[in-house]
Amino acid sequence: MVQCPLSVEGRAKGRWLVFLKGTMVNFIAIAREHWVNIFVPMGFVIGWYLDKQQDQKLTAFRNRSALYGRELKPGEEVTWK
Amino acid sequence: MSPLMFSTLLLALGLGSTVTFSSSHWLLAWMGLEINSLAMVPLMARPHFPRAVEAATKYFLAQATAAAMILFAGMTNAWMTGQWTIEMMTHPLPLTLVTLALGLKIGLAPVHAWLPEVLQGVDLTTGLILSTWQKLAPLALLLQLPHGNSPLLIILALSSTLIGGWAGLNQTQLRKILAYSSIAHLGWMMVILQYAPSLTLLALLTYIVMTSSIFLLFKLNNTTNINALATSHTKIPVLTLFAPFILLSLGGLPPLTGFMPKWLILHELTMQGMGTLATITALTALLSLYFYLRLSYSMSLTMSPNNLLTSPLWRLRPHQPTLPLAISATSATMLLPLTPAAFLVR
Amino acid sequence: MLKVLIPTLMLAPTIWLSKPKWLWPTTLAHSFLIALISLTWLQNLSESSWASLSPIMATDSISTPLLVLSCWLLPLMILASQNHMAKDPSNFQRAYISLLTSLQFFLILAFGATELIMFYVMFEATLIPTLIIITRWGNQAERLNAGTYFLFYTLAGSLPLLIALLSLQGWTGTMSLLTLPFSDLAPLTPYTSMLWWAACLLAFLVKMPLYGVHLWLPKAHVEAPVAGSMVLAAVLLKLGGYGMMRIMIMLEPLTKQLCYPFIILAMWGIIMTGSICLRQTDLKSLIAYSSVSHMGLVAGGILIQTPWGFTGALILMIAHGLTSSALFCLANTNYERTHSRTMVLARGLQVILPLMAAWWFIASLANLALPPLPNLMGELTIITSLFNWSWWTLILTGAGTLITAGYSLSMFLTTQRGPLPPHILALEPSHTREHLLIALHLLPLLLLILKPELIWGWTA
Repeated sequence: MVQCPLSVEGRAKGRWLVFLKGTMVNFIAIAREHWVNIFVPMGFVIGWYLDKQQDQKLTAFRNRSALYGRELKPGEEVTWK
Repeated sequence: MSPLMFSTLLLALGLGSTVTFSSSHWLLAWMGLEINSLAMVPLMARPHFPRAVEAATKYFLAQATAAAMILFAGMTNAWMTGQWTIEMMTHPLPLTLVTLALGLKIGLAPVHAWLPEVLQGVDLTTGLILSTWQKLAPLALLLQLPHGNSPLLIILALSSTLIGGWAGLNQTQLRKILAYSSIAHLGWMMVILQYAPSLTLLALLTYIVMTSSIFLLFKLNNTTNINALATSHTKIPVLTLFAPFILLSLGGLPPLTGFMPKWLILHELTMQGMGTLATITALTALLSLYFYLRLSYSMSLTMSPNNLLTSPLWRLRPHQPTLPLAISATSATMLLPLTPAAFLVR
Repeated sequence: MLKVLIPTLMLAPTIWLSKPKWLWPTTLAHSFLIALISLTWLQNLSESSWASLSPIMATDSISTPLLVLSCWLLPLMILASQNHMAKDPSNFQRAYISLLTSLQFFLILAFGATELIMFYVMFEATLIPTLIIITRWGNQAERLNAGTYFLFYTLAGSLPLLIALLSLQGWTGTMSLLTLPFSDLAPLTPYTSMLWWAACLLAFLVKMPLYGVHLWLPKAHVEAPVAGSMVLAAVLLKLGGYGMMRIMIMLEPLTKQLCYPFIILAMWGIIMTGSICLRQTDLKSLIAYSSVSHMGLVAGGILIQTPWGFTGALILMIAHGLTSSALFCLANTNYERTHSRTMVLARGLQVILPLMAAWWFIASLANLALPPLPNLMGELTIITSLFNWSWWTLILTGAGTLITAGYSLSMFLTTQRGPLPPHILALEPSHTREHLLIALHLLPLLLLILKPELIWGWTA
């Protein structure tokens, strides 16, 4: 196999490509090996989001109630819409 | 049996029940029941060995007796009140007669003795038909009867749950156990029949789902006694792991489907002010739970030593369709979250 | 609630899709992550009422410590079972971890439920995974008998509870824990109301277990694999205590007269089960009977219904949960080496497993309620409140404490001190995994000394 001589820039580019290729392969390998680890964090994000929605709903409900609600300041929007 | 004969019989089986479902006249209802049971007899005797023929004969005798009583009760009713309408059977004499006769037809406790014997004699497919489709027509009639506040139904129900649980305890034959389980479940349906008929329907529906998954499971596994269950792990490993859930669902443990009808029935009984009856009924369920638990022990919770010949059986593909089993097994375990809330809100 | 519940559900695909090599590390890491998330519930404790409300679930200061405890226990169970499950095929390992995960799911739903029926369904739902863990992965053939006892004792106790709850729903029209304390009960005949009271409590007393209906517990503990014993001692018994605390509020006027036989049984049980421990030869059975004895104290504290009694009961439940779970892990490390639960066959282990002996020492001291451990805090609070109720209880509780100290020390001395019998000279050294496991039990216990208000309940 004939080694084709490369310029300095070309050699640097080649190294970069090799590096890029290596890391890409590593990423794919890691993703293939460990993709199952995504489920629980994903579940946490979904659950956290749903909890937050519920909290907002309850806060709006509380703000509207006669017991906990208060007079709105001038120009203040109501929290329930 | 030739395919033509077989399909004719199946058709008659369906037709008989359908005639009963759609009739409001006692004569027609009786006719439907007779067509249905006459079509069932050759189906039961189809494998020509003596035990099957014996079972078919016993079935025929029991069903013919019940049908004769129904006809007699219908005629008595017509004689006393001058009409044949099912929903108008208000006089206690024909009402009691027909309730007992229908109880005999589905195998309620004091008149249940034919059911285990018959079920033990037939193969698992026929057994499945016997414990699901054959219950429908008599139950449709029972649902339409104008039961007042009848202690008869309570007696039938309690004795069914008790005997269904008790007699199943010392059985080793799966089909007999399933027969007693059917008796116990029918007892649960009867206990609520006069208070909330829709709950009877719900209990029947869940029972059909659960029992068909058990019958199909045993059929796929090709087992008819407890000992043979022990080898099922080598044939169907995944289903074997799943089997305790189906069995315990039949026993009515939360959070499985089987808890739903029991919960709603107990709820309704308590709401009607019958806490004692509800407690007794609930505690009789423990009796049946014992043999379900025993089945799950021997099927999947203990590993029996197997020889090398049987161990790779799971590699062979089953020759039977497994989709019905998959559907019924899933719904036999997972339906509790779908409990209809309408029954809980009054 | 969902931020813990949904990840717990998501553990199921993680378990079934991860590679066999990564199965245990992955599930361990993720369950620890969930336990970490569950700690966020503790920040709401300063509020005096419900927090993290959702349509069917909420936390308050009674349920939060128990919720966190049950989330904490799943990684520990996974950590403890690795050696026990190492020889199983990978699908069975997956099924096993799935059952443990489903147990955590049901426990969160049970402790977090604001509906009594929901609580009941989830209380019962924990039966099936536990039953399967005991009977499928236990070691001896007696495990089947133990499973039957476990199932039937609990169910026979709890079916009357279902009827009682349903009739409560009939009278008040609601099952919500948020509103039930404010609703009036319909006037009952004295006889019916007594039956109703008993039905409400019986299930929880069987689950606790009260002395007299406790026979299922030693059997289940002895036959269960280590994770089964751990979760049974640490959380499932506490379901009984938690349920009693919740339902006691509804039973208010009746309890005053009716609680006497049960308090007597609970107190007497402390003495009796303690004495059984003194002459016990089976290590796991000893720890199981010690659980019955401690839970008798908890039952007494709850039944007299003073704020101090409740506080003490809650503290003791958490402390005992961690301690007894640690003791079961320690017993299991012995069992995995000597394949016997008999104490006389594995004596003098300090010589060959010195660090294990240190863990045994701390765990035994925690079991006998050494100051300043939370165990002492709980026991002292309960004993004080019982003493305030009647002076004579001090005889029973005091003797109980003495006996507890006696058998805990005797357990420690028998297993750890003395000459090493020659037949166990060649024991496998203890693993880092086991040290980590025990440390993760005992560190929370030690840290709770510094901040006991986390497990104090309402009286903070």
